[in-house]
Amino acid sequence: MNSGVCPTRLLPGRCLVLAGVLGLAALALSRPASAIPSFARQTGWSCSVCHTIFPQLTPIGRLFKLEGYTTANLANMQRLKQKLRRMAPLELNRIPPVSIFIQASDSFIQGGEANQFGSGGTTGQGSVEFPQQVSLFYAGRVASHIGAFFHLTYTHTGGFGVDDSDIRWAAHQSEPDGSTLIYGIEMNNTPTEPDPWNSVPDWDWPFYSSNYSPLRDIPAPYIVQASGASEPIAGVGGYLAYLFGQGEDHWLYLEADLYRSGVGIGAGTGQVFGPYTFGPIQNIAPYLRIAFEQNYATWNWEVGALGMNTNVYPTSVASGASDRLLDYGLDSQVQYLGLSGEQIWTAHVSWIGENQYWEPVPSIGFKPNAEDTLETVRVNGQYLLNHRYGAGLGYFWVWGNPDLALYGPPTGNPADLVSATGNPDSNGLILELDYLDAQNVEFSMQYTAFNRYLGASSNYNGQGRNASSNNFLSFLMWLTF
Amino acid sequence: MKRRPAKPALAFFLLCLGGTASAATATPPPHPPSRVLTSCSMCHSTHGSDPRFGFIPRLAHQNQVYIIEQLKAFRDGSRSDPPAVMYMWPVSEALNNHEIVAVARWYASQPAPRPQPGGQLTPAGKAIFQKGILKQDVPACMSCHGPVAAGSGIFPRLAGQNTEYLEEQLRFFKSGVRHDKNADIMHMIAIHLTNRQIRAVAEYLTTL
Repeated sequence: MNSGVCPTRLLPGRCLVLAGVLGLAALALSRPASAIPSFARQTGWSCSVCHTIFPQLTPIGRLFKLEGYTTANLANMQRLKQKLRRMAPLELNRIPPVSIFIQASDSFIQGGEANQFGSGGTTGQGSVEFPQQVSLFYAGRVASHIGAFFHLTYTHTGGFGVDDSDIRWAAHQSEPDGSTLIYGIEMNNTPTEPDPWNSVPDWDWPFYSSNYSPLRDIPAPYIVQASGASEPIAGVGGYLAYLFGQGEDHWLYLEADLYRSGVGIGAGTGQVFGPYTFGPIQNIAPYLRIAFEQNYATWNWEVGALGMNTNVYPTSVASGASDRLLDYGLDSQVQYLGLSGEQIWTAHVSWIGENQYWEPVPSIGFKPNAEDTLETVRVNGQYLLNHRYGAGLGYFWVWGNPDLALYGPPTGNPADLVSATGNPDSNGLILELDYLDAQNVEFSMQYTAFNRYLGASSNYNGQGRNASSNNFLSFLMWLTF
Repeated sequence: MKRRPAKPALAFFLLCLGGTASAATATPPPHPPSRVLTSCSMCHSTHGSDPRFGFIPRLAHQNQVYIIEQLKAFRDGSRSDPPAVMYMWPVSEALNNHEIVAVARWYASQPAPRPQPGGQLTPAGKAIFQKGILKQDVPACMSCHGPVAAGSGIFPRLAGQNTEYLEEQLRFFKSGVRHDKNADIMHMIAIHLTNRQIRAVAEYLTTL
């Protein structure tokens, strides 16, 4: 809808489809699919202490995050003497907590070239990305109670951007009855990034996908799209984690954040992300999260809910009427770790719904329905044997009411990923196999089979393209050090 | 190196004789030491009753002498079972002697963990704990660890310990994977136990 950035080949009505595209692209960008070696250097622990299959967290990994990344087992903090005792102290890492992460991929699409409006590119018959992603992390303790997970990412579209990141202050209070209250204040640039579970959008499986996968062109709610990698938003918030009960086996987690648009760096494309994106947030967008985890000796389960209310301007101009996007969701995770983690199972399920209240923008011909709904359900499970062999299987559903202005109309180009009926309904299966040559070197194969794509199984774009034409196979290698 | 099964009686008797009667420290510290807060609590919990995984031991009310000895064994690498290498070597590497004593004193002074429900093998485990298995040269566990498994000196408290932790450690003793300073005596005992008997003992001890 931003006429200043929307190429002429893109009809305004397609713009919000693109937002979904961009969101999914940003989502993948925002997934650091690895343990961060600087965390390992700080704690002395191998990746598998805090992670199952990356970046999925174990309960210890969740605690490490909740405690603000400050746990430091190795004596790597250098205490510099103050001139006066009452002066602020200074502790510096002897080894800077810096890490590098590299992904490369090769991918193939079943039905031939598809035009991706999210990346503004085409899939081609197959796409090699070297690199698919390069990230530079500062991840670790900054001071006694302050830690950072901050990373810059280079993408295939060129340029560096701030990927999903947070900086947090955390402390805890232990009570004689055995309960513990962990509390923290954080700044982040992605809703759900501070979350310690992998059933929320920013951390959900699959933990990577090719930039050219048609999976990224499926519509997604704003809370899935709103990533630091896609647009400059920033949130300030706080969280409480109350560990109580016999064996502190009950965890209650509460988080609240307030997001605003700001001036920042979007990954790859600067402040303007792609041909179209939502405009800035009007005023403040509140985000709320509640979750409960029950721990047993070798397994745990979590159930939670989240919500976010966002008013966004339809163009990059922060004035006039705004669109309202009300997101809400439920999620659950079950994790079996076994003794010494030789065999690990994790399963996730999440449902996210969005009520959309649109304002037409006559100047660019954008005339959506006054109200739309969009919902997603994701169910997936992962298995890891000896932290070496992994497999994942998942199914996703997306559905909502038709809106040609959002998901269509047909363009006449058979390669375009648009809906002839303006219907967002999509579903499909994802299968992934992983091999970890070392804990910081992983090879993966991922196959996505679409049963329904943007409203139909066959001829969904009115130009003869079937859902199965978008079936996608990719091979990925990542290294982190 | 394959270890030769041996009659444990003499060494066992001498070691038990040498146990001292100390258990929890007399004056509990008012606040946890910083190392407990910044490191130990991550896995063992601040008060030591609520470790995050079943294979992590409960440290609450553990014998101070035993904790000190084990932390030093982690630090000098003499205790090298897989979880020790993975989790405890990095942690203990950063601890000086003063911090080791402070950590041990804190956990030893914490209230004993509450008993946990046992399993189907609990009665069999109770029999092994109290009477041993003569025909397998397995002495009664309580001869060293005490009638209620409270331990003494270098003999750890086992009452209320996690079943999974006990089971795994007994298997480590049996296979010889755990071979720290005083592990030989446990190796000589555990080598005569079947895996089912190991599980039974572990299930019983968690109920105490």
